[in-house]
Amino acid sequence: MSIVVQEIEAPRVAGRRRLRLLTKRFLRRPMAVGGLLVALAFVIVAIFAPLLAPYSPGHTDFDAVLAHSSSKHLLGTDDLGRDVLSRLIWGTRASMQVGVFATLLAMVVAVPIGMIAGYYRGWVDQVIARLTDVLLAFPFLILAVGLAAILGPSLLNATLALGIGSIPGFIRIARGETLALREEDYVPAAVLNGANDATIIFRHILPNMTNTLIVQATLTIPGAILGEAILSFLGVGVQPPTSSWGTMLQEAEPYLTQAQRLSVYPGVAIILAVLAFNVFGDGLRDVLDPRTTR
Amino acid sequence: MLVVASIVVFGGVRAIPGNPAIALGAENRDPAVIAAVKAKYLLDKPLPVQYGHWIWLAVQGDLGVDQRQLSVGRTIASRLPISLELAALSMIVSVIVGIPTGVITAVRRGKPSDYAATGVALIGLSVPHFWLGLMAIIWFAVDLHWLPAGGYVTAHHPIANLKHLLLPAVVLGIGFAAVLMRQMRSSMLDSLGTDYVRTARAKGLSEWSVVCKHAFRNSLITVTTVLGLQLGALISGIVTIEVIFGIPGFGSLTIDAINQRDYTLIQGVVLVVACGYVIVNLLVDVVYSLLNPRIRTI
Repeated sequence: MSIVVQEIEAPRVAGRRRLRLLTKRFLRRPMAVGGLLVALAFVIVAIFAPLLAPYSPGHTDFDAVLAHSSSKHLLGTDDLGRDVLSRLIWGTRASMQVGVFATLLAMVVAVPIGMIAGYYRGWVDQVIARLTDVLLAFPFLILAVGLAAILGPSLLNATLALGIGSIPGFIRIARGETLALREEDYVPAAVLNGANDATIIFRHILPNMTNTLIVQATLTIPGAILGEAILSFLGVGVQPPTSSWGTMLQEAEPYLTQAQRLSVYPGVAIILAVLAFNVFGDGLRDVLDPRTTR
Repeated sequence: MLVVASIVVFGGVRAIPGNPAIALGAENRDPAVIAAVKAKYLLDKPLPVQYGHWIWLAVQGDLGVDQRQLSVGRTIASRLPISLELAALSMIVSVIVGIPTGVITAVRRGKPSDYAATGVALIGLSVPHFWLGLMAIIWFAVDLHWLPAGGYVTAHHPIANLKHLLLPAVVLGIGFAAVLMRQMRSSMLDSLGTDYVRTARAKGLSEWSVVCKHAFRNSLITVTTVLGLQLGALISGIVTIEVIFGIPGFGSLTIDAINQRDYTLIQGVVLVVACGYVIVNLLVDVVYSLLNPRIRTI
């Protein structure tokens, strides 16, 4: 009798126990926890930028042009007398926006395509897989720069370009996972229960690959943040006067000899953000996806 | 695959906004001039005809002329060696730094030197090349005056040439050294745990011989693949580094071409990149079979 009760309750209890186990395993990795905290801090700064920034990003103080740090301007000012700290905080918003939304865009587009290829196989898979190979033959940055040039430079278009640039990688992962998962016993079981293809793909296969997708997403965000910085630095991304880490670096380049701190701060912000997401993603992968440990 | 890639390139370039006929006609909006320009460059023909014409000439090695009436093929041929030199130098830097540290950290796993090197590598992965380039210019060129801040000198003056390329090559190489080191470390750890390494130790071979002859050789296989996969990142790195250091190579040519909406030039550049990618992957396969006799096919 007791055995039957246990069996009925098993999924819920196991789910909760698994979550607790994963949290425990994750908390045992100080690096990953640190990465999560720093990444969260950046997200919070991005969301509450208007409240946290002491000045508006376009506010100019002509009494203090290229000023050193002071109580009035904690990190000094740039060539137009704009407060560097405020611009960094607003830049966090732009960079996080690009990083997160580009990744989301890539996932939303790529995962269904990859799953269809992996589930149906045959010629559909052949076409999708070969096209993905072709797109992967173009270096990510060249693809993104080209797309940004086609779309025209702006924050939205940089997001689109980086999102589209990340699609082939996601397709490949979703396809590979689906190829493996469709061989699992629960797929024929679902077919016997009368489930149609859509149900099998989205109710049975998708939940089983969320771990891999979450890990891939955490590792794509830093790539997109870096990509935004490069695009904006090359002049095809976010356009001044909008503040992003890339535009700050671009604007700081002519002042390399006079005000080096102008190019140091945004760079440190980029490194911290990218490092945090990378470390967090690595830790998450170790916990969620032990098969693919480095 | 190259055919599909060339179609993607062609279609993508046509999607760039702006009218090339007006650009080619030196902003002359006289309809007669524009019509003449269009006829000359087949811009009045349907896209498939334009594509066929372009690819037919491209196969023969003629990539057309750019907006300044210079041969695209010749421009690329003059810029490419500069970037290849930069790429080769940075690869040398990354191999010299990355592979030994990878081996040493694997052998000394769990010791402080392992943690230090892995930590540095993790930071190296997160630092954007172009920012590291800016910092290198500040430290070594502006503050210390050790090396020039940018520019390029032809190989006719070998020392000046090396001096100008040293900073960019090191900056670019460091990032790849981090990737290489991490890969080397993990595959060395795999090899060191295998049966044949235990056998080699049991035979009484010296630790040096076990590590260098047995484990190292087998670890190189995975590292070669990773090097091949890094080509995309290498090209991206070269683009940004050349822009920062003002090196007139293939990367700055790409950015200029995109900024000037120079159709034929962009097409040529991207086609060369795609070809290069295919060739490098082929080379990786060849090296792979040289290193691992088991996958050698008849």
